[in-house]
Amino acid sequence: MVKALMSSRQKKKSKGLIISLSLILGSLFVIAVIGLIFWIFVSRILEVHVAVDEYTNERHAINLANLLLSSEKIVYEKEGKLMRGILDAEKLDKIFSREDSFSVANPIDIGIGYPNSITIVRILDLESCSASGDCKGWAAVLAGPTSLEGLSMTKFISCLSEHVKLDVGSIFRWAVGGILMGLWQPWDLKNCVQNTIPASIKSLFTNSEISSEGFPVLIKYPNSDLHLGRMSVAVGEFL
Amino acid sequence: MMKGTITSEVIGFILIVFTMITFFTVMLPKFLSTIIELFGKTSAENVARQLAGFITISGSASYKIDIDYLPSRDVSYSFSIKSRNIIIKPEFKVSYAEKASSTQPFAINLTEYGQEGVNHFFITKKIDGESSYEFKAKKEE
Repeated sequence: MVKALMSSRQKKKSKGLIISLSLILGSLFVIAVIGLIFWIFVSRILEVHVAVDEYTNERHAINLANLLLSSEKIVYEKEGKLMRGILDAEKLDKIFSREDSFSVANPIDIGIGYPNSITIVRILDLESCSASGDCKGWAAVLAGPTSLEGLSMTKFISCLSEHVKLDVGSIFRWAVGGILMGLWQPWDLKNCVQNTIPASIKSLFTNSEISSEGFPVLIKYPNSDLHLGRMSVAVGEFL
Repeated sequence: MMKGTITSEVIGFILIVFTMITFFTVMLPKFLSTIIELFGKTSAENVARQLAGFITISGSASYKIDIDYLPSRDVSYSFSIKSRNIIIKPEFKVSYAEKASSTQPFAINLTEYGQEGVNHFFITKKIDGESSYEFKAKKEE
């Protein structure tokens, strides 16, 4: 009788041990599985979204600059061949505006530019810059076709020109105190977007060193002089 | 008897945990990565972005360039080009994925054009006094 009682107590002890071990292992397993699923989803899926959505606007500015560097509209031609990266001053004079006649309010269409966008292209002759940083050069506003309902590029450009006309000098200023000058100022853009663009339309504007510092170019003058220059491209897009 | 039961249960658990860990750390990430990669390559957004980028960047060739792009042999697309935008719509067999289309802008002039059931795209740029661009597509088996 006593033996049977002792054996039953031992069984109960062992059962308790099995349940607690199973519980601990089971719980650890569940925690590990939840942790792994969380890690897999966060690391894999988040990575994909970031890679797709980042810096579209900046990439468009780089693409446009590359396109312009090979465009027969502004590039120097020698024996029927386009010299990529060498800009023809005579062609620039015909299409772009010089520093004394540039106005944001006069966009041009040279068949290059993203739809529903505004692009400011600035070409500076770095060998003509004064001590204060003012350079000679060319600039143009390129406008693409508009297909968004409710978007009026004319209104936006008109607003921008009202603000930028006071500060046209800055477009032809390479650097002030070692700081490179951007093509547009965030406060002007914010003001014009608020006043002329419907709230349902998303606005994106380049704001990086690519658009401020630009691409190195050579400028070929009619007297065969070659000057070092920079071409900056700033893109504002509406989606 | 009881000692043996505990040991086999613990070994069983350890084996299951080990198998599951191997599955979740090695096999599942590989499987997920393949699915994501496939979906990324063939998705309307990716194909539209790639094509819009290729069309724009073809303009940077200073003489002549031919670009051909085949995102997938298994998925066909319908596309239309309008106002410097390309609209891509995949023709998936599952009905819920059919509406997933993507519109992406490009920066040169192309003739308005559209086609259905294609998966191989060709972009050509030539300079003959002025730049001219051509966009074609066909079905590749």
